[in-house]
Amino acid sequence: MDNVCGNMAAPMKRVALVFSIVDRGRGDDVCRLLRENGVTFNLISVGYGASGLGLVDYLGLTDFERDITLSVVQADRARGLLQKLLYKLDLDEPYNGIAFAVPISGVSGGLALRYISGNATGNCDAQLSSGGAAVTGEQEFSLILTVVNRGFADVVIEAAKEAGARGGTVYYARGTGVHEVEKFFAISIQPEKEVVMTLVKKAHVQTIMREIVRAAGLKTEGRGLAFALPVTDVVGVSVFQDEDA
Amino acid sequence: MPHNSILLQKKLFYKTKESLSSVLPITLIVLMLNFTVTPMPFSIRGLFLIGSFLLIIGMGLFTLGADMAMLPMGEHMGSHLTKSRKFLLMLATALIMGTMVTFAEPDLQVLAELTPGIPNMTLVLTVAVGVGVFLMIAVLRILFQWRLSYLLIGLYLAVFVIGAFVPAEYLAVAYDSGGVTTGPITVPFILAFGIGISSVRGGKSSHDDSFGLVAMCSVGPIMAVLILGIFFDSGAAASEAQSFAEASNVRELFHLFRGALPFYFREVAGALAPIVIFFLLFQLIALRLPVTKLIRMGIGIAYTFFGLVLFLTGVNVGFLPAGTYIGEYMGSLSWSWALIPLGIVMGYFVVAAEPAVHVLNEQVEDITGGAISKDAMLLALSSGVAISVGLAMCRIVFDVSLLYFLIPGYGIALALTFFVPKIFSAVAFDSGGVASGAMTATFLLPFALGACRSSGGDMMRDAFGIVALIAMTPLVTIQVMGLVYKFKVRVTEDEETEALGGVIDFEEDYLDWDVEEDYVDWDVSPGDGGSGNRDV
Repeated sequence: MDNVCGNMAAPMKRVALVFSIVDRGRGDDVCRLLRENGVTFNLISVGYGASGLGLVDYLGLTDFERDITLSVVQADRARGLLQKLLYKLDLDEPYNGIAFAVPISGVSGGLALRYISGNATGNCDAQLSSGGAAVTGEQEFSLILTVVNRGFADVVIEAAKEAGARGGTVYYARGTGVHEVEKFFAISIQPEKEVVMTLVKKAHVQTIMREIVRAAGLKTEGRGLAFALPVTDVVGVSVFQDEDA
Repeated sequence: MPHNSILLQKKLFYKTKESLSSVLPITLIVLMLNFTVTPMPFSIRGLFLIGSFLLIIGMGLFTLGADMAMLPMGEHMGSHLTKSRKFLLMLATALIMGTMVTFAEPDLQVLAELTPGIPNMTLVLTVAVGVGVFLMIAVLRILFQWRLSYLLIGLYLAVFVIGAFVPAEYLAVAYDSGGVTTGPITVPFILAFGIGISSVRGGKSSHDDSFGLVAMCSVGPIMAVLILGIFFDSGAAASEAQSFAEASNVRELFHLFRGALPFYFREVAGALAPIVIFFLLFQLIALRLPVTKLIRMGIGIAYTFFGLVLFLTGVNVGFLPAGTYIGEYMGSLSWSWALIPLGIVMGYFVVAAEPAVHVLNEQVEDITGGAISKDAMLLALSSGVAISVGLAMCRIVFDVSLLYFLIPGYGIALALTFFVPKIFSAVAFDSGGVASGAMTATFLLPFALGACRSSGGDMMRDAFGIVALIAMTPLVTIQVMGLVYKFKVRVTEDEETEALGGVIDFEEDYLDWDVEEDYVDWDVSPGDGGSGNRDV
């Protein structure tokens, strides 16, 4: 029983969800790197980086297609993996992308956990030099997720920026609300939404959320609502560092 | 703002790279020909080079504008219509939009000029209404969830049956019209319209419906022209040898471009106007998008407009003479078989310079969440068009009937719909019309016409039909890509099942770290007491 990891009887390791937001096409690089490090559960979806409503934003010259990847990793390896991502994808260059870890509090069973937590057996002590300068640690950031009606993501991002955020990533979603799904001939209809992901300093969460709600909240045409998730480790936030300097 | 300027640089770099990589390959091939087999006179070479430059700028502006205006406009209108659940409004919009957009498509006017025996206006109206009706059918298909492949099989069968009653001179023009009417303005808008309609629907396979509208808009015109062909007598064959304006110095070259600009200004304005007006009506009555969004769309429309004007001017003034010249030169050589490999190479690289292709590829990547990537799409389209230009050259060199290629081609394409994932079929049938756009009409078609003329073929019968081939082969290549995809997915799934196979006896309970104080057993099945000692 001395081999802890991978043994069924061992205390179960916490897992975390690693988000990375990178240029379109590089999501594959992220997944490849993570897979090489024993992370087998990686999802890629498409998103759009948007930066607000300044003049050049209106000219359409600052928005980018992005890949958003989600990977489940063992929590104690998150920091090391983020560091690898940082170096491999040059995330310290501004606007090359960010990656961060969000804790997972539960999983739908042992089989699922086994499925998502990969084949890190024998490799689970691979935590790299923790506290490497590049990884911004414990709880300094939060992830705000704002769900608005299609077309209002720009408004959300601009509001967030006014309150101190640095931009955001948008992806499209369909949602169902309190109403039942409506039928129209052979198809069912679900309202379209945009989800805006914004990584912000924890201290700013309240102000930024308040501003988002003011601009696109439930009482506006945007019908938006926002919630925040804890973020444990972050890489690629050089933009924030400039600000502090 | 410094941060914005970093983003700005990055975006400009990316856009420049995109434009260059789509236009430069074909430019380089033509230049290479110029220095080896087909030395071109100063005037044609000069026009071509300036034209390439305009294409690069025009392409960049156009794709930017499509992202900012044409696509969001179509999507918002489509999704709003589904959400409104007004059946008749939906059908009426499809009918009117399809008709108006096609009516305004510049390529259709050109086609009307080239078609013998039918009054221009009759042809334009028939084709426009044909597209309108078929767009309506496409919407009905989504609402009632008819299977796209059955619909297409029925329609293409009808097309081939009617085709049997139509003079041979007509066939080529009819099939060409399917590719021609789906140009750089129609395609982004109709693509986005379909994506919008299906974006609000839930349920499985909702994105299978995102595509397939352009496909219907490609069959419509073929049918319309064929039916006209029964009633009208194809009298005098058109298409005289065109003479091109000559220029002897650089100033005159620029003068030629400047002379053509106002014409394309009017054309593009006329083609964009119906879409913009229709959208504004929608916005006023129902959409109510935020002003910020509207401003961006306005700027996007301006990009689209100037991008297309530059692109069309460049391609018509710069590429058309070069295409004709190369075709004529090669066709008159004693080794005119060289047209076939040359056609394959040019076909391969010319698709990338087709503006609507970029829009399609991007939409496919987005809707499939990256599963069908832009690069994969371009590869499939390039191979498809390479094959078709090669075949078209074979027809000119060896004088083979178009139907020998079209019937087996469509037969294979329709048969494949039963074996590949539905979305690949829908994308494939859309891409046929998309691949044959402005570049085909102004470069490949003149190339074929030139080759045909100098090698002494029948232009009506032999040269036309290249568009039809270009509109057909991608149907096959993209679905072949779908087959490969399906196979690979199956292999991966098998591997996953196998990987899970050893542990299938685990219970699917909920594991919660916060409740279990950082300690959760693998095995928490009720009877086991959760002792945590389990050997596998």
